[in-house]
Amino acid sequence: MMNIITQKTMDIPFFIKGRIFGFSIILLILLISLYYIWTKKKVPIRLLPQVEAMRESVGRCAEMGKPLVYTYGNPTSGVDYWTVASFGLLKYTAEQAAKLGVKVIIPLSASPKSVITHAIVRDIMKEAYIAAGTSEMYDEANFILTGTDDQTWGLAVTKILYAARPAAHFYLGFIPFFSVIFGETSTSIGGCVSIGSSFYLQMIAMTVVSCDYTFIAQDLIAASAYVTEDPSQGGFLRTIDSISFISMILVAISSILLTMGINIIPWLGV
Amino acid sequence: MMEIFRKKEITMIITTMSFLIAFLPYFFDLPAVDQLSTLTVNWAITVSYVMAIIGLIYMSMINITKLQKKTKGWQYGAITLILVWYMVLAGLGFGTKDMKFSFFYNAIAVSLTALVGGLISFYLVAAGGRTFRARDFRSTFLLIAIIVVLMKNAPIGLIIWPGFGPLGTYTIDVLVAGANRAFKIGTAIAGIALGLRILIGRETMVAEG
Amino acid sequence: MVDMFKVMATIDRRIYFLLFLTIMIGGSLYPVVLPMPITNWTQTFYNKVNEVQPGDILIVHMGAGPEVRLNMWSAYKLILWQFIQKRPRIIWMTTWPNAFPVGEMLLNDPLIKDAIKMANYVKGVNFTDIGFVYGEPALVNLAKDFHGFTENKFKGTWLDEVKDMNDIQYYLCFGASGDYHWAAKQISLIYKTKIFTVSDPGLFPTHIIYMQAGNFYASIEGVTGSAEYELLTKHYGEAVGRMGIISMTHLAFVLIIIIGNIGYFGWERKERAKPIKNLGEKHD
Repeated sequence: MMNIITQKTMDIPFFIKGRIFGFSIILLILLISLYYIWTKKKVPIRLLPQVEAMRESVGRCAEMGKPLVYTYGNPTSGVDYWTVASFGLLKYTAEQAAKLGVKVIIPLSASPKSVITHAIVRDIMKEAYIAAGTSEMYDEANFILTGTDDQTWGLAVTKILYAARPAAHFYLGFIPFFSVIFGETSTSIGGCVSIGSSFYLQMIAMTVVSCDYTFIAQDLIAASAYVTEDPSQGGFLRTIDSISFISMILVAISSILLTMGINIIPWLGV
Repeated sequence: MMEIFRKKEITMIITTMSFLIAFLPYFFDLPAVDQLSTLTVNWAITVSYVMAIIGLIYMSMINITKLQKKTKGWQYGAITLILVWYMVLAGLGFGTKDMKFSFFYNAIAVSLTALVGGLISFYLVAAGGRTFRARDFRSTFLLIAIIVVLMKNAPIGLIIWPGFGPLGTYTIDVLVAGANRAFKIGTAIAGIALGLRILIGRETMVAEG
Repeated sequence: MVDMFKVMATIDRRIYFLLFLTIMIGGSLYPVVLPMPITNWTQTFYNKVNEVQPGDILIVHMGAGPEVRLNMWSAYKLILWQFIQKRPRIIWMTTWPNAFPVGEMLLNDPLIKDAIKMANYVKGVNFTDIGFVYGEPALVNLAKDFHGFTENKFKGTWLDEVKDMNDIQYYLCFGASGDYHWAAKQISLIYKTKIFTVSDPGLFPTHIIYMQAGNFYASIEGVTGSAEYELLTKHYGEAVGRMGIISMTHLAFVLIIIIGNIGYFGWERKERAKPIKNLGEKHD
């Protein structure tokens, strides 16, 4: 199948040939995002069972007197939308934990581009403890620096789990292939509820079988939008859904037309 | 005076300008902006090199603090520091081709990386053996797909039943590829939407961080 | 009386570990070579490498870490060997710090060394190492303006004819898991360069979608691809021998799943359906 760039159809001044369709999609995303931000339209999001389970797990940690480990991932490319969604859920978890007096241990990724996340995570935890009036619970020792690449980071988190013996382990965010190991480690510790997600599609099935609750793909963003109650996050979710829906329609139409012998791909590469 | 640089608005302006400089030349024929984009990207490359050094210093500081306070596991911190700085100095002093560098790399890095890969497979087996149960239609379908793909990838599977080959190929090329496409499109859209949110200042966590 | 179904459903995972360890040790000591077919993707890759003409320019993206030494080494070695037989002019670049030693190992491999000698590769004449190209932004700039990015270090050499990535016919990506994304995003959509990739085992479906969309010219899966390439190039080695162990472990895993499900239907399902009589009563 030829690269669509080579099948240009028309010259439009200033535009580089073959990229107008891509630009239109980005413009559409921007317009839909702005619409939801300006209108402050509240997007109805149902309560996900995983979020309910997170709240119950924090309570479980308080009852059992054990800590909670929250792993936001190893974002080797800096801050991406998985990590941002995870921070929303971290804020929610931190607020619950601060109210109930639960210790939250957070492994920090040490890859160069993820150093920015350390400050964000510390701020979230500090604010949560201050808001709950338990600022003395904030302890720098609960932030544990792990490794730079996926393997060393994953093994460090596993070691933290074995050492801390938490009652709950949330691994939400930019989690690579280690989601299965985390699930298994939580099981082997015994009495540890694990709520996970995975960055790779291939690992989602394994994550589902190895942990108690799983956030699949955009569930994480939906959960973050739900718990933060931020209309713009809901708008973010609705934007993704709208463009995905448009993509689905385009794929279906072009498949049908292609089957009939009409190729609209060159026209999309305007 | 320095307070101005700590304002959130300055961060947003710099982010937006950098974005536009990198973004516009991809879609528009603007030679001047294209040259500016090349320059900005060169700065980004330099910053990423510096970040590697910052990461090294930060990691050293953490481990030195651990050593000074003799917190739990300080011995591992000491080993980490010695090995890391030895590799840095050996690489800088003797070069990466020299025995003094390459021996440790081959003996430690290669072996330990293999260990981690091996660990994953054992955990996968333990997880799979424990939880792959045909509880309902969806998990049964998952099980069948797993067995078909596993047998397709193993030569013995094709000896047991040659049908695993075409069935497994169909599963991967059509079903899995289709799901991957959907996932990739969703991820790409979410990434663009997040980027635009950061640019218009709605993603406060990143700006404040 | 031992309930066999209960035993099947609750096998200790240490038994699984022991079983796999036995298979691996046994397979290493007594290798079993089984007949295996060549998949369509590997055959296509092999055929497309054979299309390379002498004098074409190939850029090798070396971004793999030490883990490839143990599972995909044959694929890397034999693909590079096959390319060298076609005598393209080679630009070598490294994109990750831990890929330098791997690149050295690859170039110093006896098979590659002999091939380089036979093909009369001379540094600066038809083989140039442009050094470290760190990260996606660096690749963007390199692709856009080769001599600008390399600070005119290669002016006056055979690389004079390379202005941007359009002047490079082939791109061979020996990348880490994220690197092929860079090639897909920054090279395939903009330039005419044909991209070959070698995939990590779990990420091959992603390469398939890029191939089906025309972003990648050809791609193979690294582990089984290694064995298939050994069969295609008739350089039999560790990969073909390893397929015996892979076969046995896959079969063992399937048997574990089947046994577990027999135990599930015979015992676990009834156990889970029982109502909880006392608070705190455990369900496994």
